[in-house]
Amino acid sequence: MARYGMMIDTRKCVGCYACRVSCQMQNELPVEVSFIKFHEKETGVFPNVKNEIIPVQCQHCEDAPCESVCPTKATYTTEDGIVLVDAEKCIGCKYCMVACPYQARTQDHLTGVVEKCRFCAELVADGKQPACVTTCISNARIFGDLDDPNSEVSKAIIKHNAQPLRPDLGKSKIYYVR
Amino acid sequence: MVWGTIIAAYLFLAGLSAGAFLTSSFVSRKYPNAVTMRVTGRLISPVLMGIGLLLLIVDAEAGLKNPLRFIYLFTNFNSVMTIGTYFISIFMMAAAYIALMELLKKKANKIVEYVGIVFAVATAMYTGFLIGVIATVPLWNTAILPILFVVSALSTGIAGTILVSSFFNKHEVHQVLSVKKIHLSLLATEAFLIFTMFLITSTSNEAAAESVSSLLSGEFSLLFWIGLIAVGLLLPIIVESLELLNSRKMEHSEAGIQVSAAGTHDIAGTLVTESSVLVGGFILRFLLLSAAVPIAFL
Amino acid sequence: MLDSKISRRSFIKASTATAVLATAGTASFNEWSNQYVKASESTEIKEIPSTCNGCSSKCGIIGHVKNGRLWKLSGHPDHPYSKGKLCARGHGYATLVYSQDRITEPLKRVGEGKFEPISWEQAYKEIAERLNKIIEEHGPRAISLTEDPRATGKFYSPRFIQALGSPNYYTHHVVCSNSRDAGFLHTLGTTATSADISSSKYIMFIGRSYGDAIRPSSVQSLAEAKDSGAKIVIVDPRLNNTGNLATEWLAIRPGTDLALVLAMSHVLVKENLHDIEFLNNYSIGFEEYANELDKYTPVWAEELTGISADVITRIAIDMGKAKPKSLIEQSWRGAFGCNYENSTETGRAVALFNAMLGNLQQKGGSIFGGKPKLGNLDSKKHPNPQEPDFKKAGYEEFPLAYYNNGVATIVAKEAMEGKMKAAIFYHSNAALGYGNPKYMKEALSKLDLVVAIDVQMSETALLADYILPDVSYIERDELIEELSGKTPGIALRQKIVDKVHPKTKPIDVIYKELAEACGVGQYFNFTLDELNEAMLAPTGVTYKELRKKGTIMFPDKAIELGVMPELKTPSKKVEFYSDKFKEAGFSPVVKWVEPKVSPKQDSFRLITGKQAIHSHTQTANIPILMQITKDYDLERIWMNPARARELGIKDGDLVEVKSSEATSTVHVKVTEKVHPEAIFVPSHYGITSNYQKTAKGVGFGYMEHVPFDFEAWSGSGNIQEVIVKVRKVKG
Ligand SMILES: Nc1nc2c(c(=O)[nH]1)N[C@H]1C(S)=C(S)[C@@H](COP(=O)(O)OP(=O)(O)OC[C@H]3O[C@@H](n4cnc5c(=O)[nH]c(N)nc54)[C@H](O)[C@@H]3O)O[C@H]1N2
Ligand SMILES: Nc1nc2c(c(=O)[nH]1)N[C@H]1C(S)=C(S)[C@@H](COP(=O)(O)OP(=O)(O)OC[C@H]3O[C@@H](n4cnc5c(=O)[nH]c(N)nc54)[C@H](O)[C@@H]3O)O[C@H]1N2
Ligand code: SF4
Ligand code: SF4
Ligand code: SF4
Ligand code: SF4
Ligand code: SF4
Ligand SMILES: [Mo]
Repeated sequence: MARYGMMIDTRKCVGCYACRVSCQMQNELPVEVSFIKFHEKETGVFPNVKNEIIPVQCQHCEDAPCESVCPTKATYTTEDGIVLVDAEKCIGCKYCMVACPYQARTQDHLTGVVEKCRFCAELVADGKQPACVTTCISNARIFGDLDDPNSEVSKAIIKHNAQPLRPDLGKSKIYYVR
Repeated sequence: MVWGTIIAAYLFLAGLSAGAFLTSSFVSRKYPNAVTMRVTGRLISPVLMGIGLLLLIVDAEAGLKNPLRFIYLFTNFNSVMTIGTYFISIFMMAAAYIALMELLKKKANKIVEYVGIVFAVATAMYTGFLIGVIATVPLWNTAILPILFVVSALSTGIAGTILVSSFFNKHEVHQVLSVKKIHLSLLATEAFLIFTMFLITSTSNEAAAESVSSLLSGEFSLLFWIGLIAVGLLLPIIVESLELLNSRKMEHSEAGIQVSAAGTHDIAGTLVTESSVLVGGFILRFLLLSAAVPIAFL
Repeated sequence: MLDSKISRRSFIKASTATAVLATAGTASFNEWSNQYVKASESTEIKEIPSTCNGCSSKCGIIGHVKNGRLWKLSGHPDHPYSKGKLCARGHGYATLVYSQDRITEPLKRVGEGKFEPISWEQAYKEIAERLNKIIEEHGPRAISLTEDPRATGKFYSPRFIQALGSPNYYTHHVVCSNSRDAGFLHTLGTTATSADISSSKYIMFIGRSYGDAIRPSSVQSLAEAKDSGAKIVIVDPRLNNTGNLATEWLAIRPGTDLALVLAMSHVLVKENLHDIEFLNNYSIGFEEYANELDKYTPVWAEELTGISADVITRIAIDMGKAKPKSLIEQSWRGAFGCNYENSTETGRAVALFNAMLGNLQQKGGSIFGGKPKLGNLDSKKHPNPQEPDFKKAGYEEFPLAYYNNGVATIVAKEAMEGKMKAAIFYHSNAALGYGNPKYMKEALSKLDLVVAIDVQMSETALLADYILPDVSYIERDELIEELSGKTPGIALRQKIVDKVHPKTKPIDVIYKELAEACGVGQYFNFTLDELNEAMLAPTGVTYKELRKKGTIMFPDKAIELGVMPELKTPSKKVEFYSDKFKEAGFSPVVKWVEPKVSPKQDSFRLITGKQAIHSHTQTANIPILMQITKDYDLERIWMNPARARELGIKDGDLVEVKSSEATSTVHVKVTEKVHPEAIFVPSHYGITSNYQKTAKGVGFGYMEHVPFDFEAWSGSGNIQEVIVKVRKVKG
């Protein structure tokens, strides 16, 4: 049993959207539906300016708020800690969207189903890396088993003292270097 | 905002339906002669709930496309929505049974009526808890919200029942004085709760403060002050108070009651007040959904 | 081809636990996962290696084909530009193959913007007749061919126009890197070096943004350099997206980079930090340059660039100390590719600064890449067309421009003058991207014949008499691409899925058949495959093997760092003093040159640059990419808050941008990330073709504001010599 997680190094991210598009292709999403959202934070005054780009997708929370509110149990957590949506159960009530602290969910208006990052469960089950990680042009993303102290991701999190976006909001599985 | 007008209407109708049911139960005990109001409340209650549920179904796009999936709504007992689904189902069955008895002019089973009362209260509370448990939106995430929703449900329920009844029996709606008193106190409580809630949440964190300021002075301030406060609360409070003051005087002279009950311009007043309570009830829910600012996670 | 079957077991049961419900006509996850499960045991995923056509980098890709349909792409792990990764365009541009807006059959113009389908035979016949008539009446100098050079085109296009007796072959570099190319060529003997980023200790980028104008491996190597503690300085009037990887941003006044480089060179000499031994061995004319440098002090440069003299001095000293593992990256278009009257001189100064650091062919420095040794057709069986005995149009005016690429906009100028009569555009949107569109339109309409070979209705195609539909890069085989670099290699573009539109044809076939119609078919008496086999012959790699692998590198042929090659300049050395420049009537040593125009208190300079999700005009109509623009309002122009305040403009406002050439309306992004003197315009918007339904109407066309012009040295477009005024239209 693994507990999959990711580290995103925002100091390396160049906001290229490659992860977004590769994710859409991998998951065959309509063009309007995207699992990764980009937040930009500009600080300072010209010419002493800093710009931070923070890609945010489902953080695969433990005791996920979206899962507990989901009335149909369409949202569930796999044994490997991946939070998934069973598209055949979802009624599209959007309660999970309201409950998600990271606004990581999005509705596919073609099917009505509310979707989100799947940690590329099918690729990962095949022993591969998620599409967004594979394609990240600046190697800003690392994926792996958080329970394995020797995994690249575990080591990197410790090395960079990466933190969840909001540790106070519960345990999530994407760690950020900022 | 994720949930928009449709969900606001659903929350409003569910509360209104529960409130109307409770109003009719109250009237049937306190004023056995006020038949119009009893019947009206009992008939509109399941109808409004039904419309509300239809709206919910329309908003749930995936369910709308695959209706069988709604069965799953009953499966997650951790979800307020699942619990609410049970509440509404039971309430709906009781309310529909009682409405049917009313139509068939038969006597309704008392136990079913009690079940209806209990689940009407539960339904009204559920509409508040549904959004009240969402920790992500500080504006909602308060203990006051479910109380506010119950109070508003009762007040809109009374307003809805009186409004519809007044089309059938102008006299009767003026004779249910204690209903009117209750209504007035509900409106005053509602105003009090709204501002207490704002006071508490706006100091609690940034997102809530942002929500509150968008209501008080920002994007939604016009709708808040004119729609909710002036039209939805102050107007009915003033008219209702004046009416009660009048009726207090009138109680002393027998003729007075007659005059009041027959006065047609007063019916116009009733129409206006009760409509504005309903409008206010919808605006309250619409504003709470629209002004919801989730916590900042960055 | 690497076929692989994915077993059903490996597919997560997630979305398939319950009944199979087909959703109508969508390419949603649900649908495919359902089909996937239905087809479970038989679903076949083919993985076919090829190359991307999303931009000039042509990265290695692997196309994943599911049941005959392109599903997704991944980066080829062996290709030196992708290194296993692709940018957003790389992934998204592939959806072009299924675009609703492709050209599906040959078209003939029957009125302004009106076209009628014709057969290939008719198209060839009529084009050939008109070409031959023009050649007969005006000579072969009156015909031309312009393209964005890609593997097949690079070989076929010049050969085709030469077969007709004309040397007039042009590339898009006139609005890309003509200036830099000329500057480097006459200094180092090559139009561009490459940079050994990952081993470098001090890297300066002057108007080059790896994070926006992407090549995946460049970003990876920069991230590596950062990890190993390199200093990374960005010189750019705006904080571009490489900012995150940088240690310092120098917000330079646009158009003054030459002053910065001259002053840094001044400091190197003054502090004795230049590599004297290297200069003695491998350069000529340094003394003259050093004399000239004397007056370019940091204080002098501070005035022009807005960068403090202290900072200039500090950075020059630090770079001098870090040499030879320090460099100014060779750059591409951004600051001195084609922008200003001083761009060629800036290119020269940059090349010379690197030479002063002695970083040429050094680890962590500037690299002259090695090329693979490829074969050619047997010229006895396949005669080469004779080289024309006159130079291509534009050579006389701009002898310093890299001859192979030429000065493409000379075609428009000579069309206006009545000297040019025919223009063929292959894989080029010259009418919108090369020069002022109004000018280009007028010029093109003066020609007797315009042919556009494209995949979609570009603005250039709309001005053509004949439009020939190419197959998309996902559906075609191409010529072997040579990869030069530290390690040379080869890559092959090949068909990933079958042709979607039966009447489209690949470019090699179009040229062959058109040549036959023109009566010069003898120069194309071979197939693409035969040519590829001939090219491969000396490498020992078989065609089959190359098809299977897609990219093959030759590590045993890697260049040796630390060994300076003989340069291809007249002196075979680095030329600090250039006779070529002198002959052409310019200063033989670099001198400060003012930009042509400068903004005043109430105006701005328009500057442009790439966005990670688009390539010029070709990706604007790709929905999966354009949606990102829409989601994040990326078409907005950038304005500094101080200037915005003066003009009463707030973030998101609609404004009017007015230049000598045009007036546009557009929304504003008010940001501290841009120099107060500049308005930054993302380069990929303003499509006017009605046929491009997704692209039309988003953002505004930068080139509309650019006066049609030639930079004196290299002939490039001077595309940032533009002053505009901005006024608020609506809040
Ligand atoms: N995403 C994307 N990538 C591409 C392409 C594409 O179309 N889209 N095209 C490819 C091609 S053909 C090319 S030529 C390259 C171009 O690669 P680059 O030259 O790196 O790209 P640009 O974005 O044109 O310019 C880089 C930077 O120059 C800055 N700049 C503008 N004016 C000045 C100035 O006066 N001084 C300085 N110092 N900086 C200035 C811009 O703000 C911009 O951030 O990109 C290649 N890669
Ligand atoms: N404002 C502004 N203008 C710029 C720049 C900028 O940064 N800002 N950058 C400049 C630079 S660096 C460059 S290199 C030039 C590039 O200018 P161009 O080389 O003209 O590039 P595009 O504008 O993308 O046009 C490419 C054309 O080729 C077509 N095409 C695409 N794929 C195929 C194919 O497979 N076959 C055929 N036959 N046609 C195909 C496209 O549909 C499109 O019409 O633009 C320059 N213009
Ligand atoms: S980030 Fe949002 S969607 Fe993802 S697990 Fe947490 S609550 Fe659910
Ligand atoms: S939208 Fe779907 S996944 Fe979200 S809570 Fe409703 S049923 Fe669950
Ligand atoms: S892990 Fe997979 S599903 Fe999630 S964002 Fe990355 S590519 Fe998309
Ligand atoms: S692919 Fe990597 S660098 Fe690009 S936006 Fe995504 S995380 Fe950032
Ligand atoms: S940089 Fe991007 S668009 Fe250009 S060739 Fe590579 S993957 Fe394709
Ligand atoms: Mo370019």
